[in-house]
Amino acid sequence: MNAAKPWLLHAADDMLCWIVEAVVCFVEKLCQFLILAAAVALAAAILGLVAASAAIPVPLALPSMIGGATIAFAALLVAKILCELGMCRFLGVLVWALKWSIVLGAVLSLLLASAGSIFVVVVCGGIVSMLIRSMTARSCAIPHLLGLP
Amino acid sequence: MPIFIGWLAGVIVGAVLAAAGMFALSIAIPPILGPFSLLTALPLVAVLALVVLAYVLAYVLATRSVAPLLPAVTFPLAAPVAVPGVVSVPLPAVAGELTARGFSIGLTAVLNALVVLLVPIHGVMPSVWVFVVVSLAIVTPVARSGIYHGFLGWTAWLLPVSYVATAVGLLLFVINAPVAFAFGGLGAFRIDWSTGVIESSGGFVGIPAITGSFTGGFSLGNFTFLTAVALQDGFLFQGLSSHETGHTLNTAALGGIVLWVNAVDENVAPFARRNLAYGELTAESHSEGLPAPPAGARRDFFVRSWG
Repeated sequence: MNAAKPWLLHAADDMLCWIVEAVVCFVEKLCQFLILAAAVALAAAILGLVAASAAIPVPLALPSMIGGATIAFAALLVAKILCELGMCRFLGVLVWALKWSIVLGAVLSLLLASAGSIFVVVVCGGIVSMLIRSMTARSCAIPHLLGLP
Repeated sequence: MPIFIGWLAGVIVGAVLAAAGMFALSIAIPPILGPFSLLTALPLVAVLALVVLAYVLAYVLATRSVAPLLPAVTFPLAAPVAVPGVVSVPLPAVAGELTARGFSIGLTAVLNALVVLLVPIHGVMPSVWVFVVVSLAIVTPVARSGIYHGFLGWTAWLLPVSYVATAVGLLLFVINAPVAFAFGGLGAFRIDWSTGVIESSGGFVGIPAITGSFTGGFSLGNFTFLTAVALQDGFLFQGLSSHETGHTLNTAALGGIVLWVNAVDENVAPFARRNLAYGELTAESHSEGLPAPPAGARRDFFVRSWG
């Protein structure tokens, strides 16, 4: 009985460590997922706006805009509460989403041959430039287009 | 004040020329241009020639105005002129240069806005946007703001007057891209998100058999080209890349024609003013307005337009 006690304690310690690690890992992975989900949803919302600005009606434009904005807002809100989302990370999400919106939006505008859509892409460009200046002033790392937000 | 007077003159001249161009193309003249329909018997070629002439005259006036402030040298120059000290030399503001710059900005703003107005899009919003964004370049604190540079550079994609340069840039980019990719991979291409410029390095433009001994960079609207990947530096620091994006801002605000006039003025005898060409002096101000990189600050002459 006496010999079993330290073994049990040791096992309990290990288990506690695993649980803590699992929770920490889970939260970390969840945060990464939430931030990526927010950025992708935001990009979808902006692309919806680009499509909605075309002269010809695009069926998915409005649902993408509303759905994307809702998901992005919810994911950012949860990330703010769970992950202590800082200003740099928040701006990074916006910049990453805008960069992809500009690249895909430019292609979409050409496919739709829409000057209205190009106008939205250009305004997005001005906004991303402004955000990048703001991030640089705060010494934040600027997310790469091909990297994660 | 001189820059505003120049802008006003540019807007009036631009409106008269735009009305003449629309008349020559048999396009219905918008009511706003009614009072400016003074030249109704000109063929389109003559209208275009007058537009080019207006830009050239403004460039000449600016060049003559800043000439007394520059070192006394004989043109054509074989190489750029070095600054006398260890720091860059900002040229003091002179009325002639400000008036000429304002004129080019006004002319560009109104020509762009009126052409955009003819494109069938939702309402007049893009046209108003184009006019306001380009015209804001006459407001000194705005023109020197990085945030404004972003909006102006990205808006340049919408500006028909910039296409005089950007269309050629696109053509060269498409031709050059496969070779640049073969030599430098994806690293040969960068987007300057802060001004909406696509930069490519190397490729045909980096082959000495084609470009001779030239090393450096050049701008064609929203496309810039460097002769080698090794020349790339930070877009938000002083350097070659930010100098070239300064040309993009010039093209957006002063018009695509000014870029070509600048190219001749910089490189072709009997001018060959190199770094003392007016277009170089204004483009350099964009770079000079940015922080110096760890390697050290740039040293050049500049007109304080963008920074």
